Amino acid sequence: MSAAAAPGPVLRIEDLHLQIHDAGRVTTILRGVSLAVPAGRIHALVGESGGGKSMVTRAATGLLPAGARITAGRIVLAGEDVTGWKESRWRGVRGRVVSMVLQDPLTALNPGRRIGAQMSDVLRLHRGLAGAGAWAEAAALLDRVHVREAQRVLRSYPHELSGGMRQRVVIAMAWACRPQLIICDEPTTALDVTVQKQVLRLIRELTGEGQGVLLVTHDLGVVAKLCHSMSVIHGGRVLESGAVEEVYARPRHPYTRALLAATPRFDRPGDALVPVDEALIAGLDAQAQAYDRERGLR
Amino acid sequence: MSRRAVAPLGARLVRSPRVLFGGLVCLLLVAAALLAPWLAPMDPLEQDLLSPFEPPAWSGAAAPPSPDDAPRHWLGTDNLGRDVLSRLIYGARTALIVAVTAALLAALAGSTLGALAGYAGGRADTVIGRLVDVWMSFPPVLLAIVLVSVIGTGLVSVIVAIAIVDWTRFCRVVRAETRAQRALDYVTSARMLGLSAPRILLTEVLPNVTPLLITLLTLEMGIAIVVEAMLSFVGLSVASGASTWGGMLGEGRLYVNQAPWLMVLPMAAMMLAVLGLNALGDGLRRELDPVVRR
Repeated sequence: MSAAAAPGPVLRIEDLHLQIHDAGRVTTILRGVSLAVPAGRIHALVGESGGGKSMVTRAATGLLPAGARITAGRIVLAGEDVTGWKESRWRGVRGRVVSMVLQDPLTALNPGRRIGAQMSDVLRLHRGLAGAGAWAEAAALLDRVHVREAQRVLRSYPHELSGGMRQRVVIAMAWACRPQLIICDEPTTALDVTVQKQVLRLIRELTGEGQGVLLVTHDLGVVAKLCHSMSVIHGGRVLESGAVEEVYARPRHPYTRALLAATPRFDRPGDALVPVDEALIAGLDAQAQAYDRERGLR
Repeated sequence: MSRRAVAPLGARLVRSPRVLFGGLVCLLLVAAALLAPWLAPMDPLEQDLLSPFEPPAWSGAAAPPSPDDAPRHWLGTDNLGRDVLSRLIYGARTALIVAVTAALLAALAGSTLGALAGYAGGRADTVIGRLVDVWMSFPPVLLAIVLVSVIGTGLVSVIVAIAIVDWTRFCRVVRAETRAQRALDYVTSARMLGLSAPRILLTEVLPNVTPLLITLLTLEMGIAIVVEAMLSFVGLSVASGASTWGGMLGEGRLYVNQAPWLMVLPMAAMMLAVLGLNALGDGLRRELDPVVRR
């Protein structure tokens, strides 16, 4: 892998177009997405369901579903163009250069195996640790994510742990090989509010070690507290991106304004919440269709 | 999150009537098969042409005149004066060997292909899926008979034939289950962490398919016993001298008016064995499957 300490962004996506071909039907999912995640920063990808957020994370990890095709644009991961890589090349990169924390920690862990065994797998694969060495490192990793009684947790099955504990384990596994980019796909959606806060604090703390984080969320409160920069995505297009303070203070796109107006603000408790205007969404959808027509997409 | 107190698996299994009944029947079957030489009162092949068609001991009054020093035939004798009980016990041996090896072979072949199809998807899935469809469109017994007549009779041929006919059962189930598992987050996580496909299949998918496989295996053993009996019945199984339930059934059929027990007894043995295996499989499924268990 080229220059680990490259000053450039750990993930750069340029004008990414992606379609899904399924039994003769073609659906355009991404229409020119561009974003960059600098090292040591947390970049938020914000948008509603179906906007293409997940597909961006899938593309950045080479885990695209069957039938998905990148039709234009490129993905640069840690200085290397990974667009169109084969599965065999991706395997050496996943877990080592890029890693992912999924939404629901219960389903992200194998229900039938002990935590210790699952963590050891990763350590053996990428760091050549085995047996007692892997076990000790796994315990150290759990300490790092503030899990008490690491030894007991390592001997537990996922169902024996609480949701917050499981998500810490998942985060520890994602961090195990100090990847340069970590993608967190709605890491707190499945957790209790109190636990959410702890997990978010943990993510910020770990980012201090120099990794870039791409945080996928629809919670603008989380973005405000945690992230440095953000991209607002809808209909497979990035509508607005920039530093978080900038976007919050002066949202340029009407969709961003609508999202912000629909989010409760602690600093302005008196404000009424405004649902996102349906006409606005319809307008965006029409734009997306026009975009497709112009380029002969379907 | 509430955590229900769940009794340990062993305790639950013992408490399940299905598992208990099925387990006992299987134990009986295994004991009979392993200990046949000691359990059987007589040599199953020894003929006693002086006392053919002796009825079972319980039919009391109808007992035919027999020399007082003659050994007692608890379940009667067949047309050649062979002891039915001994033949049934030795028959359990054949039945069990066929059931276990054929089911294991079918499971191995079927699950390997099923896992491949389910995990790889795409072209591999299409090819294997169509193959299974074509395979299953053959009547299974007919296919087995054709196979055995092509590869020749004998224990090994019967086992191979049953495995070749029945691997599709495992293939379909394992394929569906692998597909379902593959879509789960922890398989995505495993891929995300860079594990290779065979490794994911072995450590992530297989353990979660195992309960299903155990269940299928016991059911398949029941089926194998029946198929073996059918092949024996049409004379395509083990050499005719050996004791098999199907062979006994086939021979007994000729004398059904004179000596109905010659058909009824092997049939009962077979039914008990299959019933036991099915009960065991069903019971295991209920206890091992977290969705059915309530």
